[in-house]
Amino acid sequence: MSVKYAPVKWNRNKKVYDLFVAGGIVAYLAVFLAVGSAVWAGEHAISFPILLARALGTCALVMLHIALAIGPLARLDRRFLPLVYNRRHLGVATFLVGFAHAVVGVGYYHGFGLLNPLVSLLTPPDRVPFEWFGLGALAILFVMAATSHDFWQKTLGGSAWKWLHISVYPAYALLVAHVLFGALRSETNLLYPVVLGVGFVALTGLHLATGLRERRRDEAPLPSQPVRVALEVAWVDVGSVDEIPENRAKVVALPGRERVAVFRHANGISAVTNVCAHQRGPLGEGKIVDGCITCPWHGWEYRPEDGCSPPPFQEKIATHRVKVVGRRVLIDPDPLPPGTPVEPAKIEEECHAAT
Amino acid sequence: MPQPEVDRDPFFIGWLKMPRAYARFLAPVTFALVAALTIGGAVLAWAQRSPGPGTWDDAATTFTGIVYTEPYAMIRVPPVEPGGAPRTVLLVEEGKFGAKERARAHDGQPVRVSGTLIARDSRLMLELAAGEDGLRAAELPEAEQAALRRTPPRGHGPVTLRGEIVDSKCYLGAMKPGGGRTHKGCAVLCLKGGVPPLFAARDSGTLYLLTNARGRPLDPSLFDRVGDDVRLEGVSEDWDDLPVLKVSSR
Ligand code: FES
Repeated sequence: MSVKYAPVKWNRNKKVYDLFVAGGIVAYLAVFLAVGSAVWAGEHAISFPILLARALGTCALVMLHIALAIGPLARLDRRFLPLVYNRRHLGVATFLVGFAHAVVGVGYYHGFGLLNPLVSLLTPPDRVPFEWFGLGALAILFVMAATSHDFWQKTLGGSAWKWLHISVYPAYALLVAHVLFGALRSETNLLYPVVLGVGFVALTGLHLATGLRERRRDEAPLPSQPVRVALEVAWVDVGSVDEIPENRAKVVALPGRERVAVFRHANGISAVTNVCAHQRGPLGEGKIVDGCITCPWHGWEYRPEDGCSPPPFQEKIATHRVKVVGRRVLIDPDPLPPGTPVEPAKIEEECHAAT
Repeated sequence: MPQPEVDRDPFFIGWLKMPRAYARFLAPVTFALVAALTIGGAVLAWAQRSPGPGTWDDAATTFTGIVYTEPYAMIRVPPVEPGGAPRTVLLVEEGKFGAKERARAHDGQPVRVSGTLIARDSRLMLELAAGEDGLRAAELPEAEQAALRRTPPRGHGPVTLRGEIVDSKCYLGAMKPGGGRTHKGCAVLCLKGGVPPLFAARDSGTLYLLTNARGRPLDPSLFDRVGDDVRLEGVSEDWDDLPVLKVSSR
């Protein structure tokens, strides 16, 4: 939510995160190389560049699995959210490790010959070579890494950026093909296909579990069937104020529309879109901190009463008209333009005169 | 009183200190993850296939013998022990290139070659050093020359064999492993550069030198099949100590 873009704005959490990423990469590579050269030594030694390419390639694949697992994990248990916070750095690191794998592999396998290594790599043989799948995946990861900065997110616009970043799934598919038609056709140990399969099942399972949970939540939220009260606006009853904890939100799914986050704060109710203007994080899973809705992913802030970020920031999200009748919360399903002020609906005191 | 509200509903914001509940959960999770990955890396490294027994010497080796350039550059050199049979050593250049061009002027003549020795089991190859040092004409008494000359091939008739076409330089020890699907791009480049093709027969493990049906260099249309599991039909022969498969079909 910057007005000015810096390459990286460091803070303690990011540093610890990157330390773990870098430490993990170094530990993995070191152990792979050490074990690989101890197990196969002497006249059975594996050439070092090949061992290195294998260490880098498996490392990048493992990292991609982790990067893909973090999102659903954080939806299932929000204590994983700090891992989402700096996921961009994990993605960039994954690209860099994958790129190093490609440089070593292409340099060694396609270098030293009568063709330029890249020409040799790209000369089409009779069948699509496995290297091309890896190259495709790497190209996608490169574009993602290069555009991961908020500057690009802003320049490309939310939905183009989102689609670009959903292409991480085709990249994953390409990498599976790359391994399937390359390494797995050369290696004989069953461990490799088993590990690849377990990774695939785990990722698919996590995504399905998250998807199903979200579906269930979307379908179940309205206690009474969405009763449309006949008033000047087609108000929708989204539940009772008592369902919403103080400073937190209830997420409401309205058919055919973006989800709405209905926040309770300072004895009032405000409704805004559930979609963060940054990277579409789920605002309804955020919290009101210091009077601002704070996104659970990277902490962008919006005032509940008008959907605007506090100055000097200029981000805006859509708001919804809202009112409270008795203990029921009614919202207008049609969003107002981003940044439109809406007076929070007052919650009437619970204890009316008991008489 | 500490703020009870913070404890009841902790919320992580990137630029603030991580709430204790998150840190207490994530610290063991991330440490366990890094530990698991490290162990995983060890297991993946351990499970790699053996690259085979090839070696590539650091020190230079020198031979004197009779050089031939058809179908590929090779030299016939004296046996290790007196009374043994002469040995055939395939010749290649540095990088992914055959040595036919350099040897051509000396075809059938005595030469002295020097370079680094690549060897797998009893199959030998020399990567020639650059310049005159690598290959130059040599004097050899007529009797020794006669002992080193090729003898007529001994034929074993038609065969159909299953196995893998490989480039000799990598497979014999320049790159390890020097075969298989991941190595295919490299092997194609080697064969295009004139490195002699070999055929690693699956059942017998025999390494055949591959030629076309007339004993000339292998048809380049077969280069694309290198690294694959293929079946080759042809005629098997022994050229002295060198098993040869003269391929008649793909
Ligand atoms: S998605 Fe990044 S702060 Fe909301």
